[in-house]
Amino acid sequence: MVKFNKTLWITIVVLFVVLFFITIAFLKPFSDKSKIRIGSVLILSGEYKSYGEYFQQGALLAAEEMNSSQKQQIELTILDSEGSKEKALEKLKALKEQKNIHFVADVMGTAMMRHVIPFINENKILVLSGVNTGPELSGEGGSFFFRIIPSDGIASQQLSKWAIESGFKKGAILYATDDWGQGLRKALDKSYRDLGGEIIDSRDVEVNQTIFQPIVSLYKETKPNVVFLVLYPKTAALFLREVKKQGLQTQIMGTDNFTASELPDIARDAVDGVNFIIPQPAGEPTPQQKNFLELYNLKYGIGKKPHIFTTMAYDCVKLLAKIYQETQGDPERAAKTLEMIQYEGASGHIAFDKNHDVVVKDFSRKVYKYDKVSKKASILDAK
Amino acid sequence: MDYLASVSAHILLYFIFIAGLGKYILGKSSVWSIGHIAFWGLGGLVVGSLTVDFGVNAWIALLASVLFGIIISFLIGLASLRLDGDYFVILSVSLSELIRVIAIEYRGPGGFNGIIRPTFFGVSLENDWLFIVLALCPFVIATIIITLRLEQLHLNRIFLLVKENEILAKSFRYNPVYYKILIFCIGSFFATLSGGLYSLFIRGTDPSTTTLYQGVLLFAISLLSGINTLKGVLLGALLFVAAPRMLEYIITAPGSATYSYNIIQLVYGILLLIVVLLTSRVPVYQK
Amino acid sequence: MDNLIHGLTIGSIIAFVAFGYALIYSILRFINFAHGEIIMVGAYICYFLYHTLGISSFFLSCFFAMLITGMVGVGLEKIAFKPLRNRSRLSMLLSSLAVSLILQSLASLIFGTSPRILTDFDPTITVLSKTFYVREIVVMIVLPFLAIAFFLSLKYTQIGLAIRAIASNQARAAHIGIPINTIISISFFIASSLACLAGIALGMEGGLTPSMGFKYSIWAFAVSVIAGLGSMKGVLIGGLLYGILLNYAIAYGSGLFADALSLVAVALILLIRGKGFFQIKLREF
Repeated sequence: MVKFNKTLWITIVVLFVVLFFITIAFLKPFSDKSKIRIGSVLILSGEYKSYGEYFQQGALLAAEEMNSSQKQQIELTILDSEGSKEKALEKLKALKEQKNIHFVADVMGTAMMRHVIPFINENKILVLSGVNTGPELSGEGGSFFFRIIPSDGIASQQLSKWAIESGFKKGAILYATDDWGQGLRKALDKSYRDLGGEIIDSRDVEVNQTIFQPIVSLYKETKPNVVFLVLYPKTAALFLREVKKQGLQTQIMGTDNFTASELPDIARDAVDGVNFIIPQPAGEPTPQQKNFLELYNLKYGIGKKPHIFTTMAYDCVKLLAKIYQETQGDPERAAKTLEMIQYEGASGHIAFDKNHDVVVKDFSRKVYKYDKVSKKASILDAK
Repeated sequence: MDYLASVSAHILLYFIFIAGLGKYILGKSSVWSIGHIAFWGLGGLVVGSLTVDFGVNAWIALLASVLFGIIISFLIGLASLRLDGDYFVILSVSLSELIRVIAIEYRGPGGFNGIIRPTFFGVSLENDWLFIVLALCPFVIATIIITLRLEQLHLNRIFLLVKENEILAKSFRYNPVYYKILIFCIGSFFATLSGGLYSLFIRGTDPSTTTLYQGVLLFAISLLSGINTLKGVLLGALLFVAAPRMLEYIITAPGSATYSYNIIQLVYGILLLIVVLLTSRVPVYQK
Repeated sequence: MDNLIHGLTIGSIIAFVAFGYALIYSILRFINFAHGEIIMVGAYICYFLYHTLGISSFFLSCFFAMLITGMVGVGLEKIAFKPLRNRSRLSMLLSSLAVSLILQSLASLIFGTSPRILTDFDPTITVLSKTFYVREIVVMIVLPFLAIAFFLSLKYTQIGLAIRAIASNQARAAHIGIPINTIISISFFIASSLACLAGIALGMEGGLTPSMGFKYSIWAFAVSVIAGLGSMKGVLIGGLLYGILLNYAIAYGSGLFADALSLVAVALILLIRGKGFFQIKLREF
């Protein structure tokens, strides 16, 4: 490094950076009042990147659809929280200050969401969430937080009910060591016991864990009738493979993240007979659902099934855009409107209870069936 | 202004950390503390558990965390700085992972919530800017002053001698292990302080700031920019904090955020490689 | 008993990886942070050959992947490590960190972070009423052969002699005319090919992700500490032991507990004993 230039270079860089940040702090964005400005803070890197991408797919789909069919355009800004709650808060601040965004389609991650709640309520930022299922968010989000995905409190009740109805009274829980896993596990533990079930083993699984043999061996000895997998698809798939390899006889049950294609892709024939629930009523698809599926297949290929987050994101963005237009972008009025709304979305009927949780009609029960000949797994309605 | 406050606070906090790791540990000794981020995490962990679980006042919790950091680094140094340097590197890396795992085990991956900010002689520090001016700046200024003062002491020359040539230092009756432990403790002091202050700023802890990736990046920046001058420390902190944020401001097309993290990672890797290959900045250590 | 056997299969892969890592370390005294990433690179290269290029025979894809990964290792050495060999070991360490970042981010950008499925077959074989995956058996068999071949050649072949000479004192070895560059390249080739094989085994198990190699880096470090830095013998035994430790930790605790336990074990061994169990004499020069 040439010596005499160094101080000069350093000073230049420092000045440049300082000026940059001061400028964007004071330079009010070309608040294109004519556009519907919606933001989103997702996890787009690290272990959970695929979930952020699923959500992003849905959000983009909704924006594209609305932009091609109406005059007022949606301007979508999606930022990466990198799985850090402080970064999530910072990105939210950036959205508000640099883009004047007060309508947010999800802050992904229950821990992230909790961290930003004081900020969104102080600064009147409306957040509509389609992925955060933590039971602790019920009623704790303030006036500006709503979610269209049922809390894990409800999901766990439905799952426990199914297990007990099928006669499985002895259960084990394998859960991911993060907020979601721990939250759902607690809820599941309680609801299963409330219905008369007994949890004989409950252990956590690391996000990148690949060793499952000792756990399955243990289950072979302790013989639970049902194993609740509160796991992400990849670890769940590895567990399923081990179950098949050791020939463990038990019913596996999971939740909506089993819809991810990773699960049958990695588990292959081990996925046969796996039960899970999704927060969508069974029965004939509504026109909105059909429309959404059509759009999805148009963009991503026929026969592909959208992940539940994609569906949720689509509804979040469309609903936000709708009430933005109705209230001319006023978040307070929008929040009041949401409280009373009745909306048909691709994820089903949306209405909110006093906790700002979506009013749930019912979950539907699904099962995986693996066809040895075609080597494909398909999802069917469980009986 | 909230965003600006957040960025400024991050810069100041990492300034203190890089001063400890770069100026002190890497600049005045041959201790390769790659897992130094462990002390940042430790600072947050102690402040978090003392304030949230035991209701201790935040300033006292901060003091306790710093003391704890010094004690831990002393014990570690005592036990390991007499070992071959490579062992220390692995120990350092293992420790940073260990502390991260303990933090997650203790409080989950979301870390602590609800750490209450202290007051400054009765003035509430809830406002971010007030916190920066009344709580962070004093510590940064203190760091600068301490560092400049230290350089004038005879102690400083001993550190540099030990770093350059341990055998020669021994011939002057200076015990190298003693001085390595001392500098390690000082560097850990600053790291724990910055970690504790960070948890006060964000009102919680964030285990994602203590990953090995972050630790390695900070190590590299401290080594390459923060050894010689405090200006370099400032530059390092600025680059670490401002670069990704500036980049993201420019890339805001929806759908492009999926790539920014990996692109930044790639850029960091390439830059680091180029700098290491081209520069003689990395001092030649013994062994 | 099941746990013990499974621990051995896990440990075999760890020993495999640690072996290549220790080979490089013993010659260059260089902590290679990028070794875990080579595992990942090898697996992705096999994926590329098998799926994207469509080579019909999986074995052929594996074979070529090992060759190519070996060459990648040699190339990396030439670009990122060789120029720094005389500078300082801290430079090489930093360089390996940089390489690890580059490889991970490139893999993420090219292949995405969703798991890629390497094969849709993963045959099992039942021996004495215990089921094993064929790939596990392969690794467990190759490992001792590898070890024996390696140690025999260390003692009785020219190359082996050259490696020992370089490990003992690089400057003097160069002085008496041993072609250190060639030998070092060969070592990187071997280490990288082995890593590729491990990557393929892991890929068959659970699919490929850009970060699949990271924890093996950490485990390789831990094992070389347990074994003693630079000890090839110790690394094999240490790897097996480490696998067993991990397996039992998961059986009796949880994933997090297993991670913590292994790290604590490493820290304790270092703090109490000060070095590994098979530590060879490291010369000062």
